[in-house]
Amino acid sequence: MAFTIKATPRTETGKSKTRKLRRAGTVPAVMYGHGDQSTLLSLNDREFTRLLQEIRGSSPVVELDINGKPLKCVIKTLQRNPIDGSLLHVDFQKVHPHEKITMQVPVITHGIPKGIKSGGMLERILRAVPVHATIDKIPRHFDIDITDLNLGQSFHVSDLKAEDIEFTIPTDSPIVTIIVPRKLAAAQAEAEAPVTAEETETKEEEKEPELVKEKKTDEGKTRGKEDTGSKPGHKK
Amino acid sequence: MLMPKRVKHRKQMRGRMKGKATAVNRVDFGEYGLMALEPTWITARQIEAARICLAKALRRAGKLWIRIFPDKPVTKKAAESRMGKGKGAPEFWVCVVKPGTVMFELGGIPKEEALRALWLAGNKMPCKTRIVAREGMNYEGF
Repeated sequence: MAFTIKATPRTETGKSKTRKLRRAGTVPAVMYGHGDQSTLLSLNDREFTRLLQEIRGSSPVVELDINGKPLKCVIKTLQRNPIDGSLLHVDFQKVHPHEKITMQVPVITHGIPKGIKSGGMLERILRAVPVHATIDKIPRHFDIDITDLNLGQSFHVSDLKAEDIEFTIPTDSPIVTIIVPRKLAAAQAEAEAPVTAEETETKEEEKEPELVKEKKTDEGKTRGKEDTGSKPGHKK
Repeated sequence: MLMPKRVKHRKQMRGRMKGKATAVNRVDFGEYGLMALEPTWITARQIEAARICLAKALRRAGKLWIRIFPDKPVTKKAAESRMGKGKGAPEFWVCVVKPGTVMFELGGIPKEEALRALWLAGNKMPCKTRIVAREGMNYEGF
């Protein structure tokens, strides 16, 4: 299923113009690729947010509808306001059907591993795997079943079922692993952590960080006022 | 408590806390994080209090990432001392936090537990906070 979004070309550039666009409920965007000149676009904020919800957890291949012309693209970058999460700008990259591209494909795990039941911890090392292939060969996501993983076992990139695609990372890279907690045996000392932290607190407070000394110019002489060796509590 | 091992200068000027966080503003390691919504100084004690709180809530499961470090010394003049005679002695360490900074991250535990733990840790912070989740991967992950 192709996800389609309408885009309109724009001519306005610059800080104030793009701010006006955002206030009007549109998101400035750009499309580039194949060595062509980049095209400035604007998208409807609501529509694009809905599209992002739909493609969540799958590869970002979308169809851009520019004045009735559909174009296959990849969402390359999204810029967001770090605080409220609102969209600031979107980058699209044109994709040719026969051209090989590198893309991150999300990995979705299924099941609860056996190792978790015996006290292990699931560590997700790779949430997406970079693959190099033509756009029609790239899967939307990888589904992996991790129920058989025991303590200390991992699911590697080489275990993924994929045809006609190559991975751009070493195939022995783990995707998920069941790590054995260091203190699996001593699980009772939960309340001890705060006590030990307080104990060390008083000792550490007395410490003063070492100063990075400057190079000696002459023998026995050092430059800089900071290197006087005075103690933190010393009153002048 | 967290503090630098080596520093170039023992004392620093107070500085200003303008603008939003341009880095460390996403959940990059875990699944949930605690974001600061106001500019503030977070002291090493406050980081430690939040860490203890999170460690307790994790109960040796899951993983915790502390993404801020108190690298700024704060000086204080001795009590009942007259003004002048130079800057006071280093008293404690702080981390300058701007709106949008993801201070703590949690991973490998169920959602309810993670949210509860982060809420508790948020209460130890001197600023308004928000619990944030990892964004949809892939199109934002690189």
